[in-house]
Amino acid sequence: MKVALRLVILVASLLLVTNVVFAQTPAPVCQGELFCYNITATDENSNTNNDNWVVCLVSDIGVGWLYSYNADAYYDLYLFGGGPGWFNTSGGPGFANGDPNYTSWIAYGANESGFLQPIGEGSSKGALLTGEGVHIGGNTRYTIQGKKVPCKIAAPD
Amino acid sequence: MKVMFRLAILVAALLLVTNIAFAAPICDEHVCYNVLFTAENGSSHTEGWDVCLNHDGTGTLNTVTPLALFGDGPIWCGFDAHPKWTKWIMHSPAISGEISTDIFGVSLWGEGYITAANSRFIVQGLKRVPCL
Repeated sequence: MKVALRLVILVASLLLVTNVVFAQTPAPVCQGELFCYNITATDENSNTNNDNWVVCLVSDIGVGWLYSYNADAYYDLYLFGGGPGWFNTSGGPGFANGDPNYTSWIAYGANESGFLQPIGEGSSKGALLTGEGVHIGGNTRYTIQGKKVPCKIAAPD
Repeated sequence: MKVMFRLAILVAALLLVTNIAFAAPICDEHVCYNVLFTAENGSSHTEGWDVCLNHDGTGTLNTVTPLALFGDGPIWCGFDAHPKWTKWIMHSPAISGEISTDIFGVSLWGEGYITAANSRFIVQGLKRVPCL
C-alpha cells in the first residue's frame, strides 16, 4: 500500500515536471480573419531584417493580433478606418466582403510599438503593408514594407 | 544687514519657484496643440498637448509619453525631420498610437489606444501659439 502510494506521488510529480517543462504561453485564438505578410524592416542605421508575420483581424470589435516569427512574439493590434487626415474606430468608409475597412493599425507589444497601413485592394485586406515602428528597448526607429503572401503556416500554438 | 540677508533669500526662493512654475521642457523644438480627443464609445473632450521634438528623433508628449519621430509620409516615412517631424509614434505601456501632422506642423491627427481604459481613440488638433 505504501509502495503504491509512493508510486502515485512519483508519477504525479513527473507529470507536473513534464507539464512545467513543456508549458507554453497559450497563443491567441484568431476569432477573425488570418492574413500573412512577408515583411522587410529597415532601421535608422540601414540594417534590414526580413520576417514573416501572421495577422489576425477581428473586424467586429476593431482589434487583432500580429505574430512575428523572428521575435516569436505576439503583438496587440488596434484597428482604425479612414485616414490619413481623419480616422474612425468603426472602420470604413465602405466594406470589403462585408467587413469594415480598417486602413490603419496600431501595433503594441513586447518592446515594439508601431503604425501599419495596408495598401492596395483599398481595404484592411491590402496586398501591401507599410508602416513605421520603434524598438522600445533600444529606442531604434524602423520602417516596414511588406507583401501579402499565402498563409502556408498558421501562427504556432 | 540681517533683514537684507533674509530679503535676498526670499527673493531667491521666489525666483526659484517662478522658474519651476514657468519652465519649458528642455527640447530642440517645443510645440503645443489644442486637441479634440474622442474615445471609441463616442465621448470626447479637449485637452492641451505639450510636445517636445528632438533632433535625434526622440520626443515626449506631455513630458511622460515617449515619442519616436519620422519625417516624410504619409505612406512612406524617413528618419529625418524632412520636411518636418510629420509622424510621431507614441510608445508607452499606458498609451500607444500614431500622430501625423501637416508639413507646417499646424494641424495634427492620429489614433491610438489607452491601456487603462481599454479604449481606442482618435484625435484632431491645432497648434497653439504661444504654448502658455
